[in-house]
Amino acid sequence: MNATQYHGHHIWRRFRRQQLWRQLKANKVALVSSAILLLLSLVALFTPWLSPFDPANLQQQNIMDAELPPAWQEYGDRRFLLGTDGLGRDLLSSLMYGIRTSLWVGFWAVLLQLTLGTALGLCAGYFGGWIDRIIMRLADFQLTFSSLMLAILVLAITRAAMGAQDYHLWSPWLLILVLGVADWPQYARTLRANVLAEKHKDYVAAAQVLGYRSRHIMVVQILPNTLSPLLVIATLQIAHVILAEAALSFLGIGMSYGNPSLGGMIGFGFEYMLSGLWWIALIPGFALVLLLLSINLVADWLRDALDPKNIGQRQ
Amino acid sequence: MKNTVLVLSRLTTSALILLLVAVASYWILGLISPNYASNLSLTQYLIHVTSGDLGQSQFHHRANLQVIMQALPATFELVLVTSLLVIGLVIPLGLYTAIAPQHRLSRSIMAFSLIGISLPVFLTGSFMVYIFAVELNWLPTFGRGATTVIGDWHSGLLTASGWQHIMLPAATLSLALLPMFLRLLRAELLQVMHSNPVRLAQAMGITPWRIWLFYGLRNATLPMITMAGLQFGTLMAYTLVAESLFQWPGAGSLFMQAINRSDGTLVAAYLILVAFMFLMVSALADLAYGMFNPHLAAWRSQ
Repeated sequence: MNATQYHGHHIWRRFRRQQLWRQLKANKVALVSSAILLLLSLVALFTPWLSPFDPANLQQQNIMDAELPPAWQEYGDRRFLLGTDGLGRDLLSSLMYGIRTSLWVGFWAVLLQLTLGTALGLCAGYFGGWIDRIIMRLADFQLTFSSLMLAILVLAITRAAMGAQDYHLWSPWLLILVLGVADWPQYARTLRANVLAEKHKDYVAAAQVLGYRSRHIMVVQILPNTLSPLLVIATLQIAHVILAEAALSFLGIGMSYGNPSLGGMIGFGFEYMLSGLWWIALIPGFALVLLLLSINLVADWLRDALDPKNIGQRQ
Repeated sequence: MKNTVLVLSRLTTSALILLLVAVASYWILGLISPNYASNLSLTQYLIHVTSGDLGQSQFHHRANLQVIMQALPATFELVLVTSLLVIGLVIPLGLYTAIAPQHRLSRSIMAFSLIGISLPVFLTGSFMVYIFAVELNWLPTFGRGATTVIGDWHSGLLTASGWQHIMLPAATLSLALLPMFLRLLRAELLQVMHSNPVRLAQAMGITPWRIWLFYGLRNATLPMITMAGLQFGTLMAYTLVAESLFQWPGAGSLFMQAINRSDGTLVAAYLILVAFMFLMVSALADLAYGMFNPHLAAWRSQ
C-alpha cells in the first residue's frame, strides 16, 4: 500500500541509494558551493561559541576602537580581523551573527511557506472546482504583486503604527511571518500541476476505492511522489527570503539596529562608505553575495539532479 | 459581444479590488493616525476617495494627490531610463549568447547573469557608489540635480547635471533587472531557432540576420511582455529600494518618509494609487499581449 514503491525517483530512496552523493562529487561547482554553504551554516549554528566578541554586549565595545580597518591593512588592529564599525564593534562577530540571523529567518520563513503552499496546492489540485479557482486566482494576484513589495508595505505600515521602539521587539517574528505568508504561490502552483498529473493514477483510485479519507490520500499517497520539485523550490526560496530580509533591514524596516543582520550592516555602513571606510558596508556585502550565490548554485544543481529526465544517468 | 462581457467583468473586478484597498487603507489610516481617522467615518472616506479626494497630508499641509504627483515624474524618469538601458542591453546580449552559446564570451555573460541574480539591488548600488563616486569621484550619489519645469512636470533629463545624477540609480536598477530578462530572452531565442518556421526560412535561404531579427526577436517579444507584466511588483519594490539608496526624490522615497513621519493620510493615499497603477499596468500588459499574440489577433478578426 506504500505509494513510494511505485516511483523510482522518490527522493528518500535516491538518498539511500547514494545517487545524489555520486552526482554531487561529479559536479565541481556544486561541490564547492555546498561545502561553502555547509561551512556558513556551521558558523551560524555555533556563532555564540565561535565569535570573538558579542555585538550585543556593550561592555566589550569601546568607541576608541571605532572605524579600524581590517587587520591586514595599515592601522589595522590584530584583535579585529575584519576591522570595526562606527561604534567600535568587531565586524567579524557582527558578520557571524548576521549570517546566523539570515539563515534563521530563511529557515523558518521557508518552513512556513512550504506548509502553507503545500496545503493550498494539494487542496487546489485534489478538489478542483471552485476551491481550485479561488486559490489559483489568489496565487496569480500574489505572484504579480511580488512578495518583496507586499513585505515592504506591510512591515512599513506596522512600524508606523507600532512606533519604532515596539516594532523592533517584534520585527524578527514579523519578518518570518510576512515573508513566510507572502511567498506561497510558487509551491502551490507546482504542487497543483503535479497533483493533477498524479490524481488519476491507479494507486490513487485504489486508495479511493479502499475508502481512505481525502486527507490521507493527499498527504500520505500523493505528496511523497511530488516532493522533489518542492525541495528545489524551497532551496531557491531560502535565497529569496534572505535577499528580501536583507533588503528590508537595509530600508530600516527589518531587523533592528541592535540585532545584527547583513542588510542592516550594509545600510549602516553605507554612509561610512561615502567617506572612504569601505569595509563596514562591503565586507557584509561580500558575505551576503557568497551566501546567496552558494544557495542558488546548490539549488541549480539539485534541480538537475532531481529531474526525472536525468535519472539513471551516471554523471 | 464576448469582448464587452470580458471588459465589463474586468472593470467590475478592478473596481472591487480598488474598493477593498480603499477599505484597507481606511483601517491603516486608523492605525497610524487614530485622531485623524476618528473624525472621519468609513462611508465619508469612501465618498472622498471615489470623488478623487485623497485628503490632506499631515506633514506637507497640501493635498496628497498633489504631493504624490509632484514626486511621480522623478520615479517615471528613473523607470524610463532604466527600461531603455535594459532593452538596449538585453537585445544584443541575448542575441549574442543565443547565436554563439558555446563561445567563451557568452559563457561568461551567462555566469555573470547567475551572479547578478544573487546580487540584491542595494548591494549592486553600494558597489557602484564605491567605485564610481568614492574611488573615481565621477558621479554624484544622491538627489536629481538641476531640473527644468515644463508645465507641472519637473524634468531632470534636459540638463547635464540631471543626466549625471540619473546614471548611478538607473545603472543599478538595470543591472538588477537585466539577468532575469537576459536568461528569458536567450531561452526563448534558442527555442525559436529550432522551430519549424525558422527551419523553413533557413531552407528558403533567408539571410541569418533577417531570421534572427524578424523571426527570433519577434517571437521572443511575447514572453518578455508577459514577464514584464508579471514582474511589475518586483520592479516597484526594486525602484523603492534604489530610490531610498540614492535619495532619489520619487514616490518610493516619499512613501518611506511618510512612514518615518507617521503621515497616515499620505500612506493611505499612496496605497490607493499603487493599487490603481497596478491594475492599470496589468490591463496594459494584457492589451499589449493581445496586440502581439497572433492567435488572439486571428480570434479577434473572426
